[in-house]
Amino acid sequence: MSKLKLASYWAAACGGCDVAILDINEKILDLAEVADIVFWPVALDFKYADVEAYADGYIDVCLFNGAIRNSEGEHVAKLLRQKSKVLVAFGSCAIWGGIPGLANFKRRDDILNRVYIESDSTQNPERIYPQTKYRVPEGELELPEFYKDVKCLADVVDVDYFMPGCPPTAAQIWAVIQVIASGNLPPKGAFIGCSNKTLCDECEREKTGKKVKKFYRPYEIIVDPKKCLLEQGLTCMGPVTRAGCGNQCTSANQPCRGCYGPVDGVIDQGAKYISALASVVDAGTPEEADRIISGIVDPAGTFYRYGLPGSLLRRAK
Amino acid sequence: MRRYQLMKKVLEQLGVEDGRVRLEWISSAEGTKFAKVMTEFTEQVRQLGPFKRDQKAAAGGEG
Ligand code: SF4
Ligand code: SF4
Repeated sequence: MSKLKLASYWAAACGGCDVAILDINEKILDLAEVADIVFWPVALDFKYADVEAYADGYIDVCLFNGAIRNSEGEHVAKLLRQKSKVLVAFGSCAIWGGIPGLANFKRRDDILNRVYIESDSTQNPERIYPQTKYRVPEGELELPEFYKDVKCLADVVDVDYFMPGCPPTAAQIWAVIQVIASGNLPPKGAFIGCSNKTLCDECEREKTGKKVKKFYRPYEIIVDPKKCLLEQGLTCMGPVTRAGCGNQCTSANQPCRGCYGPVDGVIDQGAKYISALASVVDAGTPEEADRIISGIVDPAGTFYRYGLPGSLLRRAK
Repeated sequence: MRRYQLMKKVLEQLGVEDGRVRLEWISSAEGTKFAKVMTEFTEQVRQLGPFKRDQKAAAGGEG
């Protein structure tokens, strides 16, 4: 069998997804047995021009991480779509916008103003903003256009599979690589490298049905290592989050922040969590409920931590 | 009711103001009430007009 041709790309991402691939450690050598890497900006010196020179469908599998923040991300997404047989939205940013997607709480102008004018480490008295085109004696320089909204990969190209996680765990990455190498691909559109149960289903913490009188941030309490974190007043997103990470955060006494996204059939993870969370509030009157709910710091940013661009509202209005 | 309270807080952070969301219980026998609430609410939203993005929308995303 000829070797698989594998590509990976990062658009608006932190680099964690690429590191997660490297985290398969010595198995990277096994990977090299079954696959040739034909494009991977973080690790190998391929240029866009190399990809442009490939025939359409030359790449067998492309693992695309990162959200679409600017015209460069969209351009490369389209290029890789054309050159790849299978395109995987790899990691939560590519699927729902992820952490970079939190920028959809702000307007484009506010972001540029903050970064290029206001921030304490900036001195820019002439108020110079980056331009998409700029003339210098040597010719015209170009920069990508910064979009109004952060978008998901599937907003700009057709995506075959979705692999959630911030980042996907090394164990899941290795499992998925093996599936891909075996050629037994799941149906198009499937979520891979995860389960379709919720994190709560796989959580070993003791649940008693206790309701919550007060919400806390993790640093405000000493966590009981055996009991459900939500019942202790932490906004654990386990009830609405897809299992697959091995309950990494809850095993370390930290509430799940929801990075594996919702299970199949749930359109809006944040909305689902509103429903789940409201049902554990222990209040006799609407006023008391309001007081308890007001104890949740930054509810929208918490419930949509990894998925604002992929949610129903997509951005702040 | 709690879902509604919590949802309103989330929507506020997302720039959807108070006056655009309303929860009412109306039974199928209360046609007049339904008409009244709908007319009132439509008028209220019309007065608010389109979303004004200049208003400080999000208090969130700072953490
Ligand atoms: S809410 Fe969190 S801590 Fe509680 S059972 Fe679910 S995943 Fe475990
Ligand atoms: S526990 Fe939640 S936030 Fe933590 S890695 Fe797993 S899915 Fe992501």
